[in-house]
Amino acid sequence: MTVILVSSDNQDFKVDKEVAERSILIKNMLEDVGESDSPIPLPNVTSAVLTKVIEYCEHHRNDPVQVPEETDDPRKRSNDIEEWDMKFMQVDQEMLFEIILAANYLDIKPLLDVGCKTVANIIKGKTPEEIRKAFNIVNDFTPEEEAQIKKENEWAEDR
Amino acid sequence: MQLQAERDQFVHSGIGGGSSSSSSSTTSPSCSPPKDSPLAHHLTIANLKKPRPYFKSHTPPVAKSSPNATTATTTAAAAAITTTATIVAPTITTTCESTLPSPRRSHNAIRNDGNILAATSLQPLVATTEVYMDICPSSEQALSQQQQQQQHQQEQQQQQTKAEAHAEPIPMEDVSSTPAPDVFFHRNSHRYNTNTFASTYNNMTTKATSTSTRQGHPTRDPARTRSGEITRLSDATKVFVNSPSAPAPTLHYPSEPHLVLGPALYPREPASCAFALERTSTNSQSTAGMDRLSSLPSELLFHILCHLDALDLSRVAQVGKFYYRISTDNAIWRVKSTQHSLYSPAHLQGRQAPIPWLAYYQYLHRNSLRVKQNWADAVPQSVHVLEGHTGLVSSLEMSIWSLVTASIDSTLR
Repeated sequence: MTVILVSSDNQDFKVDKEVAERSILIKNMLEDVGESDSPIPLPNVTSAVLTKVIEYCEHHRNDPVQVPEETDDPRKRSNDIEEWDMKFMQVDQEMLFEIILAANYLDIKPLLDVGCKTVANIIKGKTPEEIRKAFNIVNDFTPEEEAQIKKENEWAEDR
Repeated sequence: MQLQAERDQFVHSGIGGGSSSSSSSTTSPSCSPPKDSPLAHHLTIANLKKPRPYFKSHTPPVAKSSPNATTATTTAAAAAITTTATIVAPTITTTCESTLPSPRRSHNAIRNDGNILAATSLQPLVATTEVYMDICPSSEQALSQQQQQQQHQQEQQQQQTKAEAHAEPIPMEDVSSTPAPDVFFHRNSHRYNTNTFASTYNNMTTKATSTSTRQGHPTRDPARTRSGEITRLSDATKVFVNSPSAPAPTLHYPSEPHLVLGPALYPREPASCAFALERTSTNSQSTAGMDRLSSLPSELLFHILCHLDALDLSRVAQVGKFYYRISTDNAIWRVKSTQHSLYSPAHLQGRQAPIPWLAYYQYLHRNSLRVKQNWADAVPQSVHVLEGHTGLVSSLEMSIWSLVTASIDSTLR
């Protein structure tokens, strides 16, 4: 059985129900609607992003639905992204954020997690200046404020 | 008689005021408490490898206030007081360590508590309340420099008093008899810190007398004990009276110290309100300074930041104003605190006021650094000999406050 998803720019995507149900949003929708062939509009997702999301869902179609590792195990930190996911996330930043937003909207928790971890990994190990550069952030501190906050955060530097 | 003998042990092993023997006693076999002593189970040689010059003379030490020692110093005064008042049996060591004006002091006090707590189940309540008390004033940076100096002076007085007290024989008190009055005092002193000292004094005296009567140690000199304790207690009161700028909520102490709140149950905690508020304000700002990251929904930003460690978060805080606000948000640091290896809900039990998680995390961070450093130095602050098994110890289990060993003598201890 297939489902038709319609992106915000009106492109149709035919996917297996099993794949589409990686998204909890779509899963719930299908359950609510019951048997229906009508296409599902996804007004918040562009076709480019939806392509990526579907690619992810196809790859993870056989994963157990609720992965038990998502119980916020403190030991599970961000370096544990699967290799395939890592490659999958090698996109430009704009796309990365779009994927995160789409995963959030579609309620695909593993994808959202991978996306957030990827962003976190970008931040990791960078100096404030490098972080600003990486995300195009404008430094809106005055020099005094900056010095003050630097001092405030010195505690974290010794380890 | 046994108590007398044990005290002699302390004195001779250079802890309770012996001056010349402190280095030689490190390996001295006389450190072991007498086998037949009632305290032999849970103590007790806290041998300080480093010579502690403060106890060679009765003159108070020059207050060293290195910049990063100041917070520890402000708080450790309170820690020292309660520690001494709490555990009188190993008091001498605990006292010695906790009155040293070094940044490690409060930690040591806690460690000692922890070690001793293995023996008695009541005391975690006391210890954990203290632990938390430690971080409040420092987090709010409530004490001005002047007040810190006042505290130094108080510490010196306190030091002097203790030194005098050490010169005289201090009666040993059964460990298990002390927690009740201490908890009582502890709560009162913080909740009603403007009360006259007299009421506290009366309460303490009554309690102390009743416990001493109950225990009925022949060698005890209650008057001496009381005066010694009271001097410290009055210092404690002063400390808190002297810090009126400390915000009331963080110094509010719970009326139900036995209530254990799980991390998810803190009702009045200002959770991620910063996120919600900042979101709107940022959106209303001109979009010129907006970047892709800060335009993410706040819950996603939160999710991302939770994957960062403290160092990265501290750097994110330095990126810009918006990032400063989100990365110092209480909710994130709550998550980080609960992930921390030293985190224990027991530290926070009974606390009803909002918890400054960032400050708490910094406290955990400092402590873990000390632990790491201690492992690296391989110099124990104290050595406790646990006795009781007659056979080989076959296995060992640890939790925060207790250590259970199983032995081939078919007992658990």
